Amino acid sequence: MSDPRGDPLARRAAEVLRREQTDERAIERVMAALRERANGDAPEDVDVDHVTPSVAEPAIPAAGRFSLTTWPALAAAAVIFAIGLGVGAAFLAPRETRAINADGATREAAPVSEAANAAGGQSQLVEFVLVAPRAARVSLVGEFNGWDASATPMRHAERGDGTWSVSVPLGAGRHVYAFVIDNSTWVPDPQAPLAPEQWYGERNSVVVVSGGPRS
Amino acid sequence: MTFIVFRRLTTIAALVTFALPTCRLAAQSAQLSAKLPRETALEVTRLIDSARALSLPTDPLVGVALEGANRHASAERIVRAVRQYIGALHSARDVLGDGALDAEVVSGAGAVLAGVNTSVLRELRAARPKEPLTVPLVVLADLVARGVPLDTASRAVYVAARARARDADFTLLRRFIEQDISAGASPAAATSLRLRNVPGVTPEDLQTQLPVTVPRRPNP
Amino acid sequence: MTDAILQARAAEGDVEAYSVLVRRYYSMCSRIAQRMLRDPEDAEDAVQDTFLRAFRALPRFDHRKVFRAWLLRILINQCRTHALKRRRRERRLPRDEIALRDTPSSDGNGASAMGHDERERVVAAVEALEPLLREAFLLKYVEELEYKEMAEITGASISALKMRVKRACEALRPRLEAIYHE
Repeated sequence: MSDPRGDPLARRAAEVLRREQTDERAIERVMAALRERANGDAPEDVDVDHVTPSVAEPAIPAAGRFSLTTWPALAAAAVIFAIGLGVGAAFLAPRETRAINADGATREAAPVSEAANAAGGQSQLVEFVLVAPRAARVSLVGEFNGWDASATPMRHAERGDGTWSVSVPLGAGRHVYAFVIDNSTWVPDPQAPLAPEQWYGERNSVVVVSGGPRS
Repeated sequence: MTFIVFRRLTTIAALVTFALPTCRLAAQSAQLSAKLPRETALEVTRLIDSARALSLPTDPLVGVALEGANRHASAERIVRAVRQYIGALHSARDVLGDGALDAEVVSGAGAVLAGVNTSVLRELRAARPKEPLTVPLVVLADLVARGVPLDTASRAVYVAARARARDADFTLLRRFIEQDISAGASPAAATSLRLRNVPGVTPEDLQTQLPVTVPRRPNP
Repeated sequence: MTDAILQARAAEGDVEAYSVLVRRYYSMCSRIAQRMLRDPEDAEDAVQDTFLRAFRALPRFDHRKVFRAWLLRILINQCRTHALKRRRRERRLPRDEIALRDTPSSDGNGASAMGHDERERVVAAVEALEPLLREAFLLKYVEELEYKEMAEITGASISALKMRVKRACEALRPRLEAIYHE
């Protein structure tokens, strides 16, 4: 006749399993998730509509003291700035960065030149690589070239293993990019960290170049 | 005569200092006008101006707008993206402090957009006060994007930061976890496992809890 | 305060009322999920998903029915879904990784025949049961539910459930005897 309370060994085992400690933190986590949903909490949407837009104007010290007028002065400044950049560009020498298997997050390359430093902070040559054997054309797009698929075409490696590459000077900081295959398909870099932002439904990649301006 | 020349040079120098941002502004405006319909370009420029007034990095905002243009997104979507980004940048800047690097603020915004709580950013700042948080934040956002639960990812990055892991360690950690996930491991298990191998992380460190409560999943 | 009042308030969006229900049922859900999924992280995911889904579905819940059974039904479904997903991933996992992850103790020693911890060995024995038998065993013996409620939760008939419980006990017997009669 079987025990109406059930199998004694099974009951003993069950008692052991019931002694499980409750994880308070786990409960807190559930409640945190619930509250966030209930309050409609999302990353704060700063209302920028009420901030008065200000167009930066060059501060011309004490008007009237000098005979220079605004536009020619701006033009002069623009020329000086452009010259500065141009000098920097002239010193950019393509240099190999580390091997392709280097980590995707921080790529180190030799800093380019003193002139480039003077023009606007350290610029480093960063190599981008994609293996795409069946592609006819691959280009690099990102913040640095305005996401223009025609701006930075990549070079097909001669050894014919489907490797495409290009080296681009990038300032210090965080840069988002992707590859465009055959002018139609945008893909992230399989070797690199993903950019979490998905503004337009698709993912991009991130590269961090060390150094950087303080805001 | 020398005095006049000196004054002229001073003026030019002053103009250059102030003209640099103007040139940048002009360049940004030009890029946006070239690629976006006029109304959208104006709206976006207005938003970016507001962000600039808040001392937020503006290059990523221009980037987002141009990305949208090149991906043929609708004007509404582009404007929405810029607004959301401004919100996230603002949150990140608030928490990371005025001395934060632009890159830190941008990575912080990325983490916020991925669903990471700003309180986690605060704890990371406290755990790694002297070195830039750019790489740890990029790694954190990446892990969350790959399906590691929010609290697991946040805790792992926090523990590593407290153990004084360097940028290269964070990068490798991310790499290994990514490979494990591609090979079929559960994202959470992969993270817990690989965290143990970060140089400087001790068994005691592995017991450390984040000082703040983090939900398991980001908001949908 | 009874489940019914709390549910009614929670169905209107009262998160604090719901939190009482969460505390009331968390341990039970966690125990079941841990044994069904054999991984603490997956288990927590399943339990959290269960509570979140339940909260969203509360407005549609028929308050004449029993809350607990409804909640556990969601949980069992979550566990089954998570287990299915994991089985698909596991096909590609190297074997030693599976072994490492599936052992109940944190330092990877596992529940060997020479293990000292009674709990570890019991856990291992129960987790070795086939999923349907394991479910039935957990609901009947660990959570001490009636067959009627179990039928509502699992969707199986009472007689099928009785059979599963019986087979579970039979399967466990050799291992439990080894643990308790050494």
